[in-house]
Amino acid sequence: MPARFSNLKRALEKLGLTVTPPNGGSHWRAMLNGKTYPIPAHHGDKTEISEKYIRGVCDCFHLKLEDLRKLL
Amino acid sequence: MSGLIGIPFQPKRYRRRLHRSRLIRASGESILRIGYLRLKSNTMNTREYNFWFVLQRAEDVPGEWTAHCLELDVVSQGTSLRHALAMLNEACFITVCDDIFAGRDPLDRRAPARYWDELYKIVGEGKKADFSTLEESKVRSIGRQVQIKCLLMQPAIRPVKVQHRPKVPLAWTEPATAQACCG
Repeated sequence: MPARFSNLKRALEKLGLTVTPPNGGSHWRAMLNGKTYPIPAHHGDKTEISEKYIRGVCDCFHLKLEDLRKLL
Repeated sequence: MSGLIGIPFQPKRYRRRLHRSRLIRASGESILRIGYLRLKSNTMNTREYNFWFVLQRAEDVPGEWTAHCLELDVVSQGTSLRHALAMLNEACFITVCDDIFAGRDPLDRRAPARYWDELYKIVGEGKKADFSTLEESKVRSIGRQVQIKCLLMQPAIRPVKVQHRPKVPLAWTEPATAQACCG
């Protein structure tokens, strides 16, 4: 199930990640323990983020998909 | 000789001012930090990465394409095939830069085997095609190899002045000690 970028950003922040705005491009950065994962936001807060991306974030930061789903 | 690339010799005071102005612009972000390092550097090396991208039509978001870099395990998306590719290029660049600056190997993050199996399926069963002539309406998934070159500018290693202050004297200068040593 896709999620809006604004919701995903809020959920990631609740899980302890730092989300920083882009610096010239259209990718925000989710950071945890110095590890970065770019978040595509080409339509701003209204960007619909696909399921594949959400799985990728969870794999990268070793998050549980269900925990993230609950917060979205 | 001036430490700035492409800038001829300038008076010392002017050089200092120039450095300070560039430093203010480099506000801690990795891409800008490359610019900052370039200013002070006199050594450089090039790193080349070959990445496999898998581009697929997003099933859950209509009109969007997802792009996945398997070596970095980074996913991005775009409104068209070309846009998704451009977005993934940007995402890969961010990831590689951040990992290098953090002292990590970018290739340590590798996608799980199930994503590689998808690529093997596309490469094994699909047709070879020229990416520039591909029509979006006729394809569902694409595997593509992309080479990314990073030009790394490393800061010059400056000699550090170290003052040696040994607690035990290295040589005895008093005559009594000198005699004892010789005798």
